[in-house]
Amino acid sequence: MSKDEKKPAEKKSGKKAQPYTAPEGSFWAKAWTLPAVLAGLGLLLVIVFGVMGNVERLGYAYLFALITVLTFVFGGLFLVIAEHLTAGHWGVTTRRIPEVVASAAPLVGVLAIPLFAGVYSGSFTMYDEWMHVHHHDAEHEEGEGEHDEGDSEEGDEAAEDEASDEEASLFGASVAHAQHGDAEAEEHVAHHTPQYEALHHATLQKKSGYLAPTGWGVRALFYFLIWTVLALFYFRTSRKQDETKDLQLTNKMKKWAPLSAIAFGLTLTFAAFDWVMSLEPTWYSTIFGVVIFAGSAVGILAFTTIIAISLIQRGVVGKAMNVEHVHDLGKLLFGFMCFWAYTSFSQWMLIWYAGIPEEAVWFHKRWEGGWQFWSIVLMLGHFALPFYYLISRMVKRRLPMMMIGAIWLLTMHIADVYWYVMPQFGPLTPRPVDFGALFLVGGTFFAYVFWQLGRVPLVPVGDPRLQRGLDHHQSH
Amino acid sequence: MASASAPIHELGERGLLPPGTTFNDITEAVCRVTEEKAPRGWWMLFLPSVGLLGLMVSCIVYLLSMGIGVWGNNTPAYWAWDITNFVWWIGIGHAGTLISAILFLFRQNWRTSINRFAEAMTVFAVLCAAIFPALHTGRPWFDYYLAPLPNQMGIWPNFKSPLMWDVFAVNTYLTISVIFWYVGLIPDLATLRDRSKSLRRKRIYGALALGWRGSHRHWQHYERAYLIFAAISTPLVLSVHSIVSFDFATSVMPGWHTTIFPPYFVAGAVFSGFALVLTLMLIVRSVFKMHSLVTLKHLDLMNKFMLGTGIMVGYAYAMEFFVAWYSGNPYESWVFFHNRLGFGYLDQEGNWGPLWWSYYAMVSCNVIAPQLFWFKKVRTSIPAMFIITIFINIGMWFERFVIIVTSLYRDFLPGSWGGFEATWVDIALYAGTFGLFFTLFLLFIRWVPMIAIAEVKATLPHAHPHHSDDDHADDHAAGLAEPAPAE
Repeated sequence: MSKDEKKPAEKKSGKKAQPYTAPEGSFWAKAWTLPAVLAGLGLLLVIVFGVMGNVERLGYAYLFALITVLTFVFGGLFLVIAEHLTAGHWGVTTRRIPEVVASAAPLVGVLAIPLFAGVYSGSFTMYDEWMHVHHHDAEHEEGEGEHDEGDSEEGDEAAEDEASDEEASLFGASVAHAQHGDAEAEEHVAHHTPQYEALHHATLQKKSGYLAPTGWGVRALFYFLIWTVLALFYFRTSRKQDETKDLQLTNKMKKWAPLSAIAFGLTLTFAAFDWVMSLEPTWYSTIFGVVIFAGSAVGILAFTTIIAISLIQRGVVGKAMNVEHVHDLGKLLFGFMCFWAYTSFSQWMLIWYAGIPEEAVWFHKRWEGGWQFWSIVLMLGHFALPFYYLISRMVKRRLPMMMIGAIWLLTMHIADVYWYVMPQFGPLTPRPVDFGALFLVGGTFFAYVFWQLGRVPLVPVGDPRLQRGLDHHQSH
Repeated sequence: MASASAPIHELGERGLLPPGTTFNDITEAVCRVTEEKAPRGWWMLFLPSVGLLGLMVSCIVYLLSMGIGVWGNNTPAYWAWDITNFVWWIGIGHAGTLISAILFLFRQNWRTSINRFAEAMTVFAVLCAAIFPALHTGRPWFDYYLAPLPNQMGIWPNFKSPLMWDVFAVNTYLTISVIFWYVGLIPDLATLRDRSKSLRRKRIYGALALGWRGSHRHWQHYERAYLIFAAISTPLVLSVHSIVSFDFATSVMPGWHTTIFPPYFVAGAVFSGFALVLTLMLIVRSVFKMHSLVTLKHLDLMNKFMLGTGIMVGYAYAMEFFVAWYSGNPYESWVFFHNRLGFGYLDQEGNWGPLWWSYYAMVSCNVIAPQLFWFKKVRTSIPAMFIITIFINIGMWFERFVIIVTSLYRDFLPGSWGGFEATWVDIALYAGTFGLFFTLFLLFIRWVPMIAIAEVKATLPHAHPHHSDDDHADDHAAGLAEPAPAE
């Protein structure tokens, strides 16, 4: 394939010198204003109900919003890197969409500043349990005596509390959580015994090698650095290829794809541990990174499908994207939705079956205080119903029906992130500040993404495999 | 103008098969293996295999007469080589299903040269695997209790047990794999029938080919059936080894109970399956001179696949370790640091767990060895890849051994600790299952087309609908730019 063959494809869009770019004044050229308005509304809600209202709640809501946009960056990086790893061709025409989404990585870094400021200043309390574990040391020692007197009915436990520190640290985790589990079974708000408090504290102290304020911040900087480097490398190289049509750029992107995949996988995992798993500091699950990854893939595929269908319906990209590409995106979306269900089910089933209190506590919180409803909605809405909807070839090849499916799953993905974060705050009580944070962070994020989509070619016009992507038709 | 599907040489793309390969070349290369006399190399492999099969049968007879006490299993190592071998063999089978189902759905054409071969391995590997749990029940003549048969004795399988789920998962897997394999074989069996010189051959292959005449309608049905089987098999790739992992992970044993087990087992299974497919492929390719059908490009891609799955397995090892430390749970840390890594956490006598070396064997074979596949030189060097795949096979056996034995033999209570030593029956029975596997496999190679003739043909440039637009120019260009891969 040489430059000459690219010309007929370019002529198809024909209207302008810049092929496959949203024409000036068209919907896509100014689509960014919609999320921008939403962001403004979000800011208002955040100020009224968060900053001037419940700041603690704002912390959780802001974290939820930030993780939501971050999963789109994850998904974008994943799709772009996967495409270069496999040297596939059908995804070439839609690759620009995840490229643009991923390129918002530095913006997410900026959006994360309020979160970090809030956590370090002590206004946002969601990590306090481990963040200040050292600071509370002295208070705790003093406090123990008081507890003994106060909870005199629980004399038995109090006596055991005298057990040596060494023993406490050896059996800390399991005994502490056995207590924890019993307490929670009685009523949702746990009344902790002094023994529980001591052992819980011992466990947290053990974990302070990882869950510590400085390390947490330094790691976050490192993650954002990696994501920014990866996202901008792929976005800029691909943009450069738009202009130069240089084949070697494809080789360059392919060459770095395997290492990028490793860097991406590890940073995603540890970011998920640092920001989401640590909300329940004694809880752990080895599959957690994979679960977050699966959700991210669902999010980006739903988003890419929505944008692709909209571009087709508005005639912005000529025939570069058509029902064949939407069909394939739909298959991948279906596949990753099943993968999400598989990983989420594995995590739940193994923890439920073993029934170890220190693990079960996480699902316990998601089955109490109204969250049972939300959990069931996710099971049905994020898997069971869309499974029967999207499995149909007919649905995947009808643009309006596929649009409904993708919007549905995008919504479910956001609900899924809400379910990771918010039960740690308390019972299910959606508040305006939750929407405010989502609108503010999400609106800013998508305003950038839509603005970028409005100005760059919507198809990587310099990619040597583009012609194959244009010719793509289903063999099955 | 070259068609869009033509390889872009600047990107390092090239056709799968050497330029100039014709349809007839493929038919000849594959069919002659079943038509000519077996080469000496085949006999040199077949006779020892039958010998090992004899060993297996003898071991089983001995075991049945003496009881499973002849194995090294003990209290607390209730599971040992038997379950290790079971999981290892089941894992070997996974490459076949992955190649025939998932890579088909992802339109990976290069799978065509290896899928038949790998699917056959799936079937034989599952048979080898099934032997171990069947014997491990202790009284195999009661194994029919596992089937949900309504019976007078009122014995029902415990559906809450993952071991029971395993029975269903493995049986489904075996059934679907056999059917899928057979459906894919039909057009090629018809080819063998049509080339038959003797009446007996014609009759047998004719019956097996189910009256296939290659009409347009036959192909249409065939393609549809193939797609449906691929779709049914895809969840099986995930489900079978996930359920095998549940056998361990639903327990509360440190080292067994961890949530990443299901995807980790699946990645490991595909990893080991690819390794054994490649080990065997390299031998068969040289014995039967299949170099033009299984090219260095195929081998290169398979090696990349192993590198990828090897890294995934490495990720799972890392997660287990990280969380054992991060959890602050003393029992988790004990298993990972004392029993496995041999670092910190000494016992009363100041020693590490005595089986620590098996963990190092696992990591060096599974994580370190495949890193050599980052280099194209290694990925395209036959001796190098042969050695690495053998390392991977060994490493994946050790992985299961590490999971099973090093979790069990020193757990919560020092008072109930034990040790483990394999007996000669353990070793001989495992070796014997290789006899069963290779006997079946070598018979398959001699009597069934070992490469999917019709599917490989479809990857040739002449098979493309638009080929006539550009055929001569393209062949010529390809010929100039890429000489046939030399070996």
